[in-house]
Amino acid sequence: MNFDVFEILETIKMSALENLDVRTVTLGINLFDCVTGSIETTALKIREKMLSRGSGLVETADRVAGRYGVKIVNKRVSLTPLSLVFGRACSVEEYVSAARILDDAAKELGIDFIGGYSALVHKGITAAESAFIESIPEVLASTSRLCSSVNVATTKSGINMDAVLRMGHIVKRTAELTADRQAIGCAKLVVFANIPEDNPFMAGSLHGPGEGDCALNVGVSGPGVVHRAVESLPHNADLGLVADTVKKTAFKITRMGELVGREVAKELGVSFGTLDLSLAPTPAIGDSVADILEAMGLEACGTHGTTAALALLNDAVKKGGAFASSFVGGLSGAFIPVSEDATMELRAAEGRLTFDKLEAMTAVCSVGLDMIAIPGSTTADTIAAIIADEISIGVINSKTTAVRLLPVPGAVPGDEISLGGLLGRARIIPVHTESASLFVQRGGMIPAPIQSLKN
Amino acid sequence: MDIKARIEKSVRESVSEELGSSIHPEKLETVIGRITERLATLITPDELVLLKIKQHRDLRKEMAVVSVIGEDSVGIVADVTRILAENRANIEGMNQAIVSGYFALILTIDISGMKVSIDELQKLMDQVADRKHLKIYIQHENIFTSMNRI
Repeated sequence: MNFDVFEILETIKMSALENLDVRTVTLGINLFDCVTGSIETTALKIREKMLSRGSGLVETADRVAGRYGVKIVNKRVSLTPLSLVFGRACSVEEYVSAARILDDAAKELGIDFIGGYSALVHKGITAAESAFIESIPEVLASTSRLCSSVNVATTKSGINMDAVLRMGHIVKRTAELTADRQAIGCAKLVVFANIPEDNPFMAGSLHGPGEGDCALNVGVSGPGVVHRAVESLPHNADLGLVADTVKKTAFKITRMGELVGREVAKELGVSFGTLDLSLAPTPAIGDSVADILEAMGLEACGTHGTTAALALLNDAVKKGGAFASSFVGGLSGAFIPVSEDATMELRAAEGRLTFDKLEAMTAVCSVGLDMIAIPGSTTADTIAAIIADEISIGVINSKTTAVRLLPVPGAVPGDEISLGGLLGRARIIPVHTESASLFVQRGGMIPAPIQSLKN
Repeated sequence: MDIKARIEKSVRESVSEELGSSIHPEKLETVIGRITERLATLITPDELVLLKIKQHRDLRKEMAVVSVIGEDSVGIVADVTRILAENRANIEGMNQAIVSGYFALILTIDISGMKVSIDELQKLMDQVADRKHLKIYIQHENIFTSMNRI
């Protein structure tokens, strides 16, 4: 082995000072062998499988993390979309009690979130899926670890506007049922276009129906490391050099994640799925995506130039990641969750980062309108229209987009909510109040775009 | 098969593979003969055994890096190396510097024969680190390889 001191100190600096970490190792578990005729028996079988497959997850991850001196922040489990596993339509009470069984199993495993209370309804909603979706608000209000996602569109199928409208109401109802906890239920609910089947990041993580029995998907982060690298460039460095610096940094981060992830998978005896290289910010100071954009030369994230800077960042991250690992998947890119990014939250609170600018940014980032607190007076129809806007960006650009909004009951622009932990805090930002009701209530499908005709 | 015959066999395989039909068969035999002679007299059988042992040891070596960073004080190297010796971690490389008033020591250690796990070694080092106001990181070599080598 022959490393120079610089290489060793750089690695230490990244993990000790710049918040480099493996953000999550997420164990995907296929549940099709748990299907029975009764939702309660199915839930018990799922619990049994979760406990048998996931029992060593936390301990193994901690052991491997110790060996390399790198933190693995979250250990999680993702499940086959439960709407497919539960089968027939059940009552809300039945769904809630099944969800509680899974939530308790997650607690037993020592993990903070499980993903997969999900439905894929981009082409149509069956009676069973309709009942399942209806249960989401109660399920999220009565559990603390279970996360939900609903895919309402794909580039291949178009946008199911009936599902979009339905989700407008579901988001609103979820906020109302968790009004006493700052609408935290909504932080566990994501509406997607082109949902990935192997994304390790919550709340939108699930183990897709095309996946095998078990796979370990790894999410690596490191906005702090990229920020320091960009910040250390001279002011006259051109944008080609900025992109190159991001790319090289992303390469190193990805390689570290792949090494750690593969080792955890090997020790757990499951296959390694994909590596998701996403710059996922946390509320910690120095772990912000907005800081990177500002280090490129913007006075405040949200001003003109922000979309271009984010496009450069997102693309360079992907290029570095793709070179470092052959199995890059999930979302891979840069996240812009407002409440979870200290600087982004600050700019939104200052009014310099607006809702419309965030929407524009989602056209070039890896996810979408994420963790944005909006006024409680926002109607279900307006939320549906916001979802439709965001989803159409994903469908037309053949990419994943998603919406995770918190219409906090009773809150008005300028109010602040605190969600705690990695979810951070947020100031309520205004949205347009002109009605889009007639548009969203037309329902039906927005046909698949011409981009889908690739065969 | 004696050592000389084995050397000749190995030389014949390599030379034939590299040169094959591009060289006259008689010339080929001369070259193989001369290289075999040279090698057979160059290394004694004892040296060959030692070489074999070294190769074997190199193959099963597992390395880690211990980085000690912080305030300079008397006895840091002694404390750190004592723990390594007690736990049979062999020091293969050592690099020490004072960087802007801070003490930085980087040790490359062979952990293949170590009595404790990296985790346990880290705990022992943490005690020294606390006492002497230092930070000590122990990391398996693979992390540096994966991040810095293609």
